[in-house]
Amino acid sequence: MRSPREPLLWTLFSAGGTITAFVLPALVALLWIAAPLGWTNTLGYDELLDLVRHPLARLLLFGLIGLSLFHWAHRFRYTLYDGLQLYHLNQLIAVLTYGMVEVVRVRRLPIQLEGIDAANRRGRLGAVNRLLSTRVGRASLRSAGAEGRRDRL
Amino acid sequence: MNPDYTPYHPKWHRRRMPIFWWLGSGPYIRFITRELTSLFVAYAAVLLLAQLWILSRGPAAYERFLEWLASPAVLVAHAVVWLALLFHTVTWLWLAPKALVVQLRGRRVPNALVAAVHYGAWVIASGLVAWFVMGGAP
Repeated sequence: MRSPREPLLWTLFSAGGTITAFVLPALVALLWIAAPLGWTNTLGYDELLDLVRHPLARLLLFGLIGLSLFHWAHRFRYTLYDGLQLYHLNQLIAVLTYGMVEVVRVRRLPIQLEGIDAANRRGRLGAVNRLLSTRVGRASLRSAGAEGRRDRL
Repeated sequence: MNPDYTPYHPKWHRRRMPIFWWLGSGPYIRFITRELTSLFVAYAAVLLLAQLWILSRGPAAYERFLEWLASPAVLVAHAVVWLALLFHTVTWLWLAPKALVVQLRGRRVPNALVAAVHYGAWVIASGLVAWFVMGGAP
C-alpha cells in the first residue's frame, strides 16, 4: 500500500532537486575549486563569517542543506530499491535514509549555525571550553550545573 | 515491482532480475548515474555543513581547511563532484517540462521553451551565487 506520506516526500525531493540544480554547481565551482586554485577573489574569513551571520543567509543555508539532504535520502532510497532490488528491506532503508537526514537537520544544523555566533563570543566562552576539554573539568562543571549554561550560550 | 504495491496478488509469478540489470544498455546506465548524483548532492551538503562548523572554530582552523581544499587529490575529487552536480542540473532541468505543463492562451508552450527558460534561470541563479560568494552583497 502506498503510504499517505509519499506525496510530501516527493515534494521535498523535488524541492531539493530544484534548489540544488540551481545553486550547487556555481557554489561548488567557486568555493571548492576556483577559490583554492586562486582563480577568483572569494571572501576571506571575516567577510564570510559576516555573510553567514546574516539572517537571510542562514535561512538560505538552512533550506539548501536541509533540502539537499532530503533529496539525497529520497532518491538514494529508490536507487537502492530499483538498482539493487532491495524491496524486502523497504522499511529499514527508509528509516536509515530519512533518519540520517533528520538527525543532521534537527541536531547538527542549528548547532552549526549557533556555532557561528559562538565564534564571536569565543572570549567569554574560552574558559568554559578549556575546562570542558578535560575530563576532570567536565566533571566539575557538570556538578556545578554549568553544562546547561554553556548550552544556552 | 514492489510487493507492497500489489497486496491483492501476492503470489503472482515474478521473474528474478539480476542485481546489475542496469549495466546492459546506455539509457539504463544514464538512469542509474542520474540517480547516483544524489550522493554528490549529499556530499556537498555535508561539506557545506563542515565548512560552517570550521568557520566557527576560528581563523586558524579555517586556514587549515583551505589548505586541505587546495591539495591535488581533494581538487580532483571536487572536480568529479562538480561534474556529477552538473549532470544533475542538466538532467533535472531537462525534466522540468515533463513536470510543468504550461498553457498560454489555450495553447501548450513547447517543451523546449520551458526547458530553455529553466536553463536561463540557472544562469541567473549562478550569477547571484557568484555575486554573494565573491562579496558583491552589501
